[in-house]
Amino acid sequence: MTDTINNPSQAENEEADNAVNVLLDGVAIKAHEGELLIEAAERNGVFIPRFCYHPHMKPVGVCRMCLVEVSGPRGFTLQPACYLKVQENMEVMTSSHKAKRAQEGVLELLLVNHPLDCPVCDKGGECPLQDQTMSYGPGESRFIEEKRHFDKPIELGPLTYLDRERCIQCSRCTRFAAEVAGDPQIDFAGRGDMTIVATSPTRPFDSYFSGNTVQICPVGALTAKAYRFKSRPWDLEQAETTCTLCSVGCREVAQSSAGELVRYLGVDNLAVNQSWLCDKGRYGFEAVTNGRVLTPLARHEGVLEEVRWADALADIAAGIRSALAKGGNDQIAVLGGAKFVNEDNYAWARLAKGVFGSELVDAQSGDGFNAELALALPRATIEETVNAKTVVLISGDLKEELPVLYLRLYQDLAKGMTNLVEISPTVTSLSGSAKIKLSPRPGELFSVIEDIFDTSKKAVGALKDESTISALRQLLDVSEGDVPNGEGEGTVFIVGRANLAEAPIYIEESVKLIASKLPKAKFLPALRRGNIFGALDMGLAPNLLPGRINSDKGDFFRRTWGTLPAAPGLGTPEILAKCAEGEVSVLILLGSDPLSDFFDQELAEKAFENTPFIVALASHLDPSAASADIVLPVSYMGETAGTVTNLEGRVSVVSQKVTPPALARQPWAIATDIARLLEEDFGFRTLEQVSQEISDTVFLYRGVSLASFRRYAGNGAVVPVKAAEVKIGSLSKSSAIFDPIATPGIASAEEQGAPIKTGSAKPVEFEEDSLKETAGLPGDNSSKDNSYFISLADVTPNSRHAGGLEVIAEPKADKYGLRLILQRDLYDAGSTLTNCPTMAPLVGEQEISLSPSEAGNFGLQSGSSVNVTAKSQKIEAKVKIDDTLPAGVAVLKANKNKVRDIFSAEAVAGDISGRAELLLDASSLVTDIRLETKNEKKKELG
Amino acid sequence: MKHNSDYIDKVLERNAPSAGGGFSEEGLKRAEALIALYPKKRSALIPLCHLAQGEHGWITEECIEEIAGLLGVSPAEVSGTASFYDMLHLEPVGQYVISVCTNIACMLAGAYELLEAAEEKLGIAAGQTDTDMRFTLEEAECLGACDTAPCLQVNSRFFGPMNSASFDKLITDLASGALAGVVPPHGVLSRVERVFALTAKDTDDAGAIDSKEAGQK
Repeated sequence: MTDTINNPSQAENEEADNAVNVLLDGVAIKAHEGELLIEAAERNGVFIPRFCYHPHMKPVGVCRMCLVEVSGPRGFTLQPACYLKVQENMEVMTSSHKAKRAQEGVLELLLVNHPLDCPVCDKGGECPLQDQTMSYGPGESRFIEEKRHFDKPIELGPLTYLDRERCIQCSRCTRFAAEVAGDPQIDFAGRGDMTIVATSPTRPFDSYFSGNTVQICPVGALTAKAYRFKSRPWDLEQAETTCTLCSVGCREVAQSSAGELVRYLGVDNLAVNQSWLCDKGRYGFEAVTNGRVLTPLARHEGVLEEVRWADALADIAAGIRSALAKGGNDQIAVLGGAKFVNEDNYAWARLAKGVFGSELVDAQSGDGFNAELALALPRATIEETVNAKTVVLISGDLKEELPVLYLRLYQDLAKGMTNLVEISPTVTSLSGSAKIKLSPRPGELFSVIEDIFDTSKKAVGALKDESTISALRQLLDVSEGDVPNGEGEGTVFIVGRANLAEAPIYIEESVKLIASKLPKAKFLPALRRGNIFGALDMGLAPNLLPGRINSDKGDFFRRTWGTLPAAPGLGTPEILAKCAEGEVSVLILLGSDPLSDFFDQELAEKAFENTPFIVALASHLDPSAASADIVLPVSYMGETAGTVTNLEGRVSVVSQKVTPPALARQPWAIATDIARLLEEDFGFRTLEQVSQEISDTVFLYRGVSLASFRRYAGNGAVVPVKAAEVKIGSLSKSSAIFDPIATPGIASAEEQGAPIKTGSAKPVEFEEDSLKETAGLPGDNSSKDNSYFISLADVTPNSRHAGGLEVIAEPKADKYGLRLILQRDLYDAGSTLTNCPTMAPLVGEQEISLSPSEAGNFGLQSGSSVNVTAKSQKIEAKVKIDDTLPAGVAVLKANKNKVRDIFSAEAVAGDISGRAELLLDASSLVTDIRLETKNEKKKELG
Repeated sequence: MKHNSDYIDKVLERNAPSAGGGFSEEGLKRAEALIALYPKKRSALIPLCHLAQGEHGWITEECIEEIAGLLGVSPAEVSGTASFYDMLHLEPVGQYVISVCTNIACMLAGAYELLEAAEEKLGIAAGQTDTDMRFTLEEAECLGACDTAPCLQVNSRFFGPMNSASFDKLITDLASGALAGVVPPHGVLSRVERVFALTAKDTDDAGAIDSKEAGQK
């Protein structure tokens, strides 16, 4: 594969002197060296028909649709344009008589066995086979025999149907599964005209990325369960938007029919998702129409009843006023924000910090790490990460937490240009690609990182082999002996929480050590939740104000907002602990669901019991909303407009496609209303005004507002945007459609319903210094952008384990117990999946993974069930024997619940009782659990 | 070198296709030896399919998983590849798989009459297995034995020229065990265990190649 496929920007920058001269249909064009003929032709405006060719996969030349006449030593011959690299003085005829005859022949052959069921086919109307038959086909068929028949549809996997009669064997799906996703669960079977795409008889096609095969299928052979027979393409309206189900922020298009979302398709954003989506992002939209909160609800005599917006807001304002009388700074807690857009979060940050003066604000749910640290680290982009010399993964399994980031890394690692070092307690989906893999036990992470940098140490954790250690230090740029220290240039660390049962201080201290030892290394913080980086950037975190600045630099906001919290503030675990002690009067949940999501369920329950007034802004009636005193309905994906920020700091636009149901509203408007009731006027009447205020007052987001994205802005913009790039209205140039046959109509998405209309904002150019002055920011550090933002030196030390490094040495494991590793998987029982009819059954039940030796010690078989106990709580889990696990640890999954089928109320998944979150204690460094087999008491480990 | 290794002896003892299961311990050793013959592990895919078929009479689901694990490919690639070849069976077959050639030489010599007679004799259509899992009848493309047209194979051993009478006798002999020394269990390609590279050192064993003559008697 050529570089130009994955790196067209580089190709565009290439100088003309290494260009290749090609005569294309009699016109002289310049192609890039090594470029495929089909790409060169397309760049020069000649579309060559194709089925199998996909720009993000290796060419195979199997469909023969792209045959063109090419000059050669033996005169003009027919050759596949997708498989042929351009050569100097090549002459190409794409529409000569011979080429047309060849294309007609290929189409006639493909149509020999392709059923003419277009009127009942999902693809009909947007079908490349249909379209290209119209443009390039023979017009009529000579085939009068009976076509082949297969059983149909075949349930290839839980989300995908296969209609074998329609398949033209282009191998796009099988190549995607093997090459791009690394899940080669489908392959060709059979022979000749009976060749079919099939799974092995032993395993279904349950890849997290199966939906992409449906999108790139050039015929209607692969169809999605969620979309099958839902709509016709000509009935679809679409708006280009950004996925908010994890912090990767994939670009996608939301399509609706008759006012209801029916389908999401990935859009080519080369910087982020390259047109791929994960299945959760693709099919999660089904939750939009199920289980929604439709009107404001208030608790009367213990029951939630429908109330008017005005009454609900008045009740809230009254509750807040009485709390403020007791002292706003520590009486009102605001949790969440990761599900909301930046505009919502800015308005709520302004309300919480600038009106309440609250110190109890946090968007994270105790499952990340110190927000100040995450924002202070030198940030890498996804592009920098996949092109890095060395990538170090100190986080959970990316496939489970940030699936499309995994996809990008997997493809890059397969090319062998990047070295991967993995430091994770368990084997993950990328372990197979890792050059070196370290598996620190829970509680051991920091000492392992210390050992790596302490070159006098002859062992790194359990790793004793000297040559491996030396290779590891070399990869990480640690100076050793005569080898000079490159300070980590070209190394990217992906850092996150691999184990929710291990206190965040381990990763925090490790990251600080790495950043101090390798000042040129970059980091990609792997915080998972949707718009968590937008929420943190907008100041919904302890000790932070909008724009990645510390509260002590908040003079500007103190002036414009009126007040600011007096103390640095607390994180979610401490806030919930305060709530549990009854020290908080009002708890406001911004879409967060601590009863499901917080890792210490007992603490969350106690906090709910002991907080007198709980307000939940919720799209779905999740357990926390169901326990609240007032529930306010808010808009959800597809209904919300605004901007979001992904883990790179890339801001992109979220578009509204459908109307929120019933009385649901967008959260920024709710914040504005509450402020008004408290006699504070934010001056927000429209979303654009909120966006403009962010652009005007948040230094980090200067020039980045909805107005600046009013043209097509698929790639978004990474903040802080350099002054030279800040020409409002030109943040991003129109991105090309890389696979036109799989993304029909998307080029015109912005005309078809995106709310961003050409505004009145005039193109403005400004210098960095003037930016600071207009924002009322200190003007003395004019040359350095970054000196204004939070730096590593400003990060508040972790107060929860103030003992510091002494404490985090590995705690002594209980002789009878197992050290717990609590991990997340993609299909958890969050409100999205549990409200999706097709995906809810995929939420697996609680499994406990044990090493074979440990299972043997307890006499447990794979599939048997076992009681797991800790701190006088007991849950039940199914045993899974995992021979990659070391002895002494056990793995449980976070947020596994009984999932009920939304239509029948039957439990469809997550059948085993008890949530792992019951076993955890927010104040401990690590968690040890015990196993009790059903009939006998626990056995001693000896 | 032994002509008949313990492993081959054991495989030859199987007188009915198995219902399922993975490789035996010895089978796994054979698999490792086969994999070691090739510069790339993946090249051993078809030899391992034959090995699985030799042990079970067909390629069981457990074997698909094991082969995939041994070769570092996906189970879909194993079953996909196996499905390409008519000689590899992904579903249980009878003790004797009878493949009647209907390609042109045999067809002209009466292959379809032979196939019809076989269907009548066995009470099953081509492509089917009888209820007691003794015989599977299938229509085959050219078996490369046109000199003995119309010909057929029983568990890859040649018989021909055949007619309805000799077919009846063949079935009687197979059922009575009279041909046990000639026709091994389905899937066993060779009674010689090849130990060195791709050429067996000792080729004077006749067990694997004399079945054709036996059929002509």
